Amino acid sequence: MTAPVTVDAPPSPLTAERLRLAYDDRVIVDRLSMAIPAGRITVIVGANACGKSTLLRGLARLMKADEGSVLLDGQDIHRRSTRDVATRLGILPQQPIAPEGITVSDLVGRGRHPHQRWHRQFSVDDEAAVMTALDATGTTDLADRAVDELSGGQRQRVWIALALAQGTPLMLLDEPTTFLDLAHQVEVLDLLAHLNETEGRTIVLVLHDLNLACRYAHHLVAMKDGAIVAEGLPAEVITAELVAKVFDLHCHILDDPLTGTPLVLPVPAGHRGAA
Amino acid sequence: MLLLRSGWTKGAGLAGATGLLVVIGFASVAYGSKSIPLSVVWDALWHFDPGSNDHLIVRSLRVPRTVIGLGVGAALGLAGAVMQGVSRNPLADPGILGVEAGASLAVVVAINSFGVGSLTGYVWFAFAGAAIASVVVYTLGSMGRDGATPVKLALAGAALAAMLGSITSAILLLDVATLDEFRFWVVGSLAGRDGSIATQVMPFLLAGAVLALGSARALNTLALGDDMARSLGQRVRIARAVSALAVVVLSGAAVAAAGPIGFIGLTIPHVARAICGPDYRWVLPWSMVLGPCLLLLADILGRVLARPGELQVGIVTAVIGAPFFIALVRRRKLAGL
Amino acid sequence: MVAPAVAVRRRDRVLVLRSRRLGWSTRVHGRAVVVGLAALACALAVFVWSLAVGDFPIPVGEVIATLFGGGSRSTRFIVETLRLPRGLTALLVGAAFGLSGAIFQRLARNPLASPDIIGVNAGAAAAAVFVIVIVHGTSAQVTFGALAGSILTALAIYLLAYKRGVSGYRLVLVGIGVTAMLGSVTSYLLTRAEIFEAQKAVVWLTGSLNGRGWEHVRPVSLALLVLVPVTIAMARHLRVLELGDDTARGLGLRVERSRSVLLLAATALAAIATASAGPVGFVALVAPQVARRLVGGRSLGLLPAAAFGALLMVAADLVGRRLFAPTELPVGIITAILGAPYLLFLLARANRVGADA
Repeated sequence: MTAPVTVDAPPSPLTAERLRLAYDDRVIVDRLSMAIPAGRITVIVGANACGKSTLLRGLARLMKADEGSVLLDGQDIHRRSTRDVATRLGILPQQPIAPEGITVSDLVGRGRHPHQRWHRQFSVDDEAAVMTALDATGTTDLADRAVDELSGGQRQRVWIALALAQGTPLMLLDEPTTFLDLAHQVEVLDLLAHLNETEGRTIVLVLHDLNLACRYAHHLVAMKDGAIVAEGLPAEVITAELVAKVFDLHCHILDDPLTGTPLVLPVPAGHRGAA
Repeated sequence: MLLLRSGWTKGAGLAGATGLLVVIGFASVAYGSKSIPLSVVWDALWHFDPGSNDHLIVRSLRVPRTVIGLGVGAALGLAGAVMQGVSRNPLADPGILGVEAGASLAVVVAINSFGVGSLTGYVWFAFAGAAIASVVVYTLGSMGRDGATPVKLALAGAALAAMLGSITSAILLLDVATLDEFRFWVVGSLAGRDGSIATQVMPFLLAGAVLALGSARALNTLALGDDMARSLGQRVRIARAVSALAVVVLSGAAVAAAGPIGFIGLTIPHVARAICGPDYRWVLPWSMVLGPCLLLLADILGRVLARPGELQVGIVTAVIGAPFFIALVRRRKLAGL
Repeated sequence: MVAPAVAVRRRDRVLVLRSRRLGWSTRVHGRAVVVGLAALACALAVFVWSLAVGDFPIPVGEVIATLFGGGSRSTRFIVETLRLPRGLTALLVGAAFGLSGAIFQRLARNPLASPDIIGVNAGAAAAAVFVIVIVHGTSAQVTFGALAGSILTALAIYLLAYKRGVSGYRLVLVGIGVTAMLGSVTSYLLTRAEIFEAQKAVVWLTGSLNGRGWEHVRPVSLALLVLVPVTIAMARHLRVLELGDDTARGLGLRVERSRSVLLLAATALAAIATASAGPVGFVALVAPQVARRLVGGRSLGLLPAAAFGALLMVAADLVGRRLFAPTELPVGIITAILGAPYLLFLLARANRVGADA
């Protein structure tokens, strides 16, 4: 069940080993093992409530595993100090909360927390990181505006800027595009792809849109009922049978004429019945 | 604590709880600070002998007391449930609208400036004070573009309650005699409440109950948020105003009859929700039945345990209710709304 | 020492102070500083005024002279033994309440949050009334009892709410239960007491600075001396906690630990303040709100909240003393009468209130 990586690939920075995650008595993920490929974009897809967000939270140590372990750079993630982990791994959860009246630059600045100390509250490095993050997300003009005045797309870019400012080689994002229009979705994903290419950051995303997932993922993971059904290159993973199995959706798969990645075409209701 | 899921079990449970209430009601008539044999109690109810002291106790003290306890308990439970629904805040209680603060101030003024000394005298003052305070709170909370949002209502209520409380304290401190009377009223008690108070207050309790039970569906819709409710055709402002009116009438009447009794309005709806879920068509009747169960039970214990005297119900309610409530909070994940 | 590089960003008015040599840096929000200092200046002005005013009026010039060692024997007695400790207690208790309320409101992300939630008021009240009515204790014993009461209550609530961690909601609900029980006990004690004891108890319950002396100033100033630096040190943790538990953890914050420390600090502040002056809880509600609206969204406004708390308290005490002279109205009454209308005014003016309007 491990990813089909090439022989000379670098070791996986983040792995799950026989992970079991549960809320009270409800087991969401059971005996799941997975290795996030280094320096690549991994996208996790699956139907609603299949456990993708839970898995991401478990990987980001936001949840304690009942059984199994999560290894960050080969070490048990729970054994490292929280601050230490935060310098290696950053997570952008779903629906983050912005305090009332906070400005963009202030919010992005808070992403520097793992690098700050009581006597070093805003160093030159911090300032530079914030500037770079704002620049990379195209939010420099919004720096002095209040976050709650911004549109959904702008707000999401600000949150990504926060994650960027944190400066971690590993970035986990839980549905970062869910409330964005298509143009902004593409913009955000292009930004993440750019970061991956130029800085070699390892990125793990949960996405809903299968087609966008296929376009941007180097490594695609399809989940159902808390277990991994298939993982690997999008072209290998996404087949009509898999989509039917994981999403309960009747579809045709084409090759995207622009990128060559799989393009999922759901079959309209009227056309079903044909074999 | 079971979570009853189907309508059948909820209905059956409600019937069961009502049965329990009847039993408790009878116990309230049967037991008290004076130990009276059950046969005598039975006789007092059906074969009344005006010459017998015990019969008098049962008929003119315990029965009205039980009836008022039923009414007040039901009113407080209902008012609390409606208040939490209207304000979409599971931590709301009728006191938020300033009901208790207004009633207290009115009673203090009655004692101090008008020399009123009887319970029946307090009733109308308390009711008026409660009503006026709530109207002021509601008006203040509605100012501004978005009307009476839950947060604004709560802040307005807290501010006004603090102000009224200050004036009340000021009068109490300036006049010792007033304090001496007020400190017994403010505890909340069913003692000494006779039939005349019951008749004065019952119409309001009934009217309030009708209004409250009638707003069950509106509360369900309001719980989805103002926008969603509007899109479902709910007239949000009117629904909120009507519900608030129900709360004021119910809690105003309850405070007028028995003095301020806290805890019931806040916690009974949580228990009801833990049993039957967030549908107000069930939460309201359940609150209406569980409220008096707790109140009468507290009253009985207060009379029986402190023989030959008695412990006021306002004191006992929290003492027996709170541990149970805390246990419930620990065991279950209490539903938000 | 290399001269610190100071960066000032326009419009945001945030001052960044850095020393490259030491690797130290900090940020100062201009508006918060201005508002805080202004409030403090007003508080001090009212404080000095309160020293001058009374049944024996003393000209302000003489008051200041007395503070610096001069003045006649009688003015020294009046100022140093009677009015100075009272005024200082007012300032310090107000600051403690304001700061405590600000922390609670930020932690709970709710403008209605106040130390009452953790049962500080109810515990202090029950204990104080017990000491007054049953033990017939001295003022010092009442203070001590109140402190013990609030700490034990806060502890009890925390432990009862603890179930593999403390969720805010469970904490509040348990707090409600325990507060209700203690309220019952207090009411019971009041009905059982002799009327004059009851009167004394009610005075305490309203919140009063009458007869507060140096023995009250010391504990509160000690508490502030310890807890204000702790709060300042934890401020940056609070800023991250505000972003939600998941994001905070993702940024490397030990969420449970930071929250507990902040809760502890806020509770201790409220407990000591309540023990010294009674439950003048309204200050903890209003002062942070006022500070927040004047300071804007960029700063946590913790110290301005303390300054406003001090101002409200010392002003309310002065009004209470003089308005119906020679009768004194306890400070707790005036804080609500002063604070509530202002809160309502802010409410009416604002278009959006609180974090979750």
